[in-house]
Amino acid sequence: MASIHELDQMSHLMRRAGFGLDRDQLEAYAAKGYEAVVEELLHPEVQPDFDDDLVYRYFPYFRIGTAISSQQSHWMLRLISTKRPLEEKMSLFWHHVFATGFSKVENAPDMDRQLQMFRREGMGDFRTLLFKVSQDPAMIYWLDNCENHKGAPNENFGRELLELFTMGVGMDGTANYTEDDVKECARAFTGWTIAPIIPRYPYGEFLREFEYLTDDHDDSEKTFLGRCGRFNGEDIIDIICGETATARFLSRHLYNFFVADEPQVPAWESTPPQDPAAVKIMEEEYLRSNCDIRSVLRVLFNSDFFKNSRFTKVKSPAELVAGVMRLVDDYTSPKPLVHEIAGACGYMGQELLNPPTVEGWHTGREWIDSGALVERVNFAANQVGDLSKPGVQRIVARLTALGPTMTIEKLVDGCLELTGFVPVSQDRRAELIAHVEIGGEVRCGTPQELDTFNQRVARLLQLVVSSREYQFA
Amino acid sequence: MTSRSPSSIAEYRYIKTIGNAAAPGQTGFRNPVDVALGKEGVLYVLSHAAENTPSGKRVAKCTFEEEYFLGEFGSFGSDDGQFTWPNSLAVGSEGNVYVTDEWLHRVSVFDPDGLFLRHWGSQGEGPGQWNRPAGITVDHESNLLVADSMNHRVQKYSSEGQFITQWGGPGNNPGQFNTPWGITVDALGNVLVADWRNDRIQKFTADGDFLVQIGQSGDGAGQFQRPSGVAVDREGRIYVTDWGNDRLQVFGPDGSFVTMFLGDAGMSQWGEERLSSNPENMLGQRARAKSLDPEKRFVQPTAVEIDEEDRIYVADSARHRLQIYQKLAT
Repeated sequence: MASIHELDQMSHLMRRAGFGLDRDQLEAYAAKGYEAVVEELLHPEVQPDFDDDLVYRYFPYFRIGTAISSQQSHWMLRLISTKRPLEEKMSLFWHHVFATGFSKVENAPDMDRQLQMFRREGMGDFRTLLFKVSQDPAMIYWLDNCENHKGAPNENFGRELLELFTMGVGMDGTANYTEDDVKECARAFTGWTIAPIIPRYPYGEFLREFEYLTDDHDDSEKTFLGRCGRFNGEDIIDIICGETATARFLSRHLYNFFVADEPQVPAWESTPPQDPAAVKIMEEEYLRSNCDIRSVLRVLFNSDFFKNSRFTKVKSPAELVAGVMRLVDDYTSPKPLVHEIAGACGYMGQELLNPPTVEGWHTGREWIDSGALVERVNFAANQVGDLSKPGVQRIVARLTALGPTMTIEKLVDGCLELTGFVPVSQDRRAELIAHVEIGGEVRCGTPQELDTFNQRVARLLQLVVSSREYQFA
Repeated sequence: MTSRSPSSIAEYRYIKTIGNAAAPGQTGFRNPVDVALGKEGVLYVLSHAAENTPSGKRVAKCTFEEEYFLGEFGSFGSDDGQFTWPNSLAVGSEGNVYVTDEWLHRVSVFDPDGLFLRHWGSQGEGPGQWNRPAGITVDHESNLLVADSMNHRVQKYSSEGQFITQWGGPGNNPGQFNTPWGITVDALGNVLVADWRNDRIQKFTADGDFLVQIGQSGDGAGQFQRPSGVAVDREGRIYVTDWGNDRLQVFGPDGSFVTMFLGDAGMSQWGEERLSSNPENMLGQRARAKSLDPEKRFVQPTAVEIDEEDRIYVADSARHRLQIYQKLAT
């Protein structure tokens, strides 16, 4: 039987490396041991894949949907119900780093295919991932590499590759690359384009395909980061991936996503990491492992800096929505109106597959404004206050099992624990206790008492998920 | 390129496509998951469509000649005459249209003009109850056969909805099912079921006695990846929409593989009208496309139906159309 400390630690791991667990699942995971679970997360192939057959049967428009809401809904079902949580979490991470938006791409299946690529490559060799990203049709269209021609380069992709995807503008007070490097990088990716496709009418969307046009590739000599050669895009990727700046930039991205909120990316040039030692540890592992993402993640999840970072990160809308739905155990299998659940993310400021810019979403405290907070609280409260939800019923059952009577403190602490060991302040706990006290003694021994008890638990759960602390992961 | 076995290449001919990815109010279908043949050449086409376009979930009446505005009925919802997860439809001997709904666990009945008449069914495991009713067909005695998908069985009802009998159960042994989908009756009254998650077709007598099974998991000739629809022609040839492999396969009466089609779609009449609405943009884009071949291929073909003139209608679901082949006289 896992201790409360072990359960708390596992809850933290599964919130960060996944989207949270209910208590039954948490106990099962904790029984395996922390490091064993980390290994399981790092090897998603040991768990069954998502049941896409059933999803496509009930939602036939997910496969080649014209509207992005189809792919958003499909992804939300995965976030809620995947048995490979880190695989999906890494897809979300890479979607954040390689932020590509439907607003310009305007091809929902292309967006979905990019996501599938993140799933396949997201924990492997960073070089391979970057190569796939550079040949991804949605990315090529998004950053205009289809307009990057021999003799008439378009620098958009080359610039973002360096600035936002790999090295960052600078570190330790020095620039990581020059404007000339951007231009040479762009020239190396000339000819990496997409073939013209059939229009979406009258038979729906067609996938764009990557195409390498030899005649449109600038094969002349280039000087990039001090090296000279007739570099093609693949050579540039090789050079970039071996740079210490890339190791550090990627490590900081991972730290920001999994450990604690950092400033927004544009500030990284002038603002050192809040925990330089932690970033350094990951940076060294990246270089030692020859760009192996899985190795860096293993170091991260097993580190003390990760284990000690409970509730220091503001949940992204996707994390909040998927986490709440997992808690209440709804939409854990295909069900109508999933687009409304997926749509809730958008109302909270994170429209999946449609980030505002190539910089992605601003994270941390910037997730929260008055409108977004109201959406977050209302969404979570509506879900946990619904006693018909299986997950809510299981919480009630666990609390009922504590005995026919219990102290108000025990009920409050039980609700906090069963919603993920939410560490509320003493003042908040006192407020929750004061709320329960209004209803008098806590009893659940008779059917009438149980009915009242259920309502009181539902109300209490609503207050917990409405708390400031619940907004953190 | 369409794949056909050399021996049978002359036996079939692609003849036309009907369809258009229609927004509500437009002529066409949206993820058509089934087609049924009504009286006087009427085709009933069931569009599954997305839930956030409520009027997209509907049955459209049209003809082989692509006349469309014979009527539409149904919309998204759970009220009388509405659908949530419509799966299949069949036309009874009296001309009424029966539509299964996997979410609402019911069959809705409409008259030939689409007027809602009644529905029946409730969720459960008992006789006469359903757990996600899927494929539906009418036998030679005007009874209805329904693939009760999540109860992994077949149930037989009178056309009035009175339970008659059932067979099957969960498993992968002969006579058992895993989430069956399409169902049909051959000229002899035998029942064929697309045993979706067992990647096979099973054939039974009219009373449900197991006769034979066809296929196994895979993407080779004669293998299936989640077969969803099945039909039998007058000579006993068996046609299967191999949903997960994006193709139609044909088998002889003994279950031997005959040929397969990957899709041959051309431009439908409604498609031509759509293109002509914005010719500079769409025709220009088509002219620049590297290849128009992908447009021909099936994507998630879900159901197959055969008319009295040996025309084979394939509901090409993800491409919002019917592809129609002609079996040639031999």
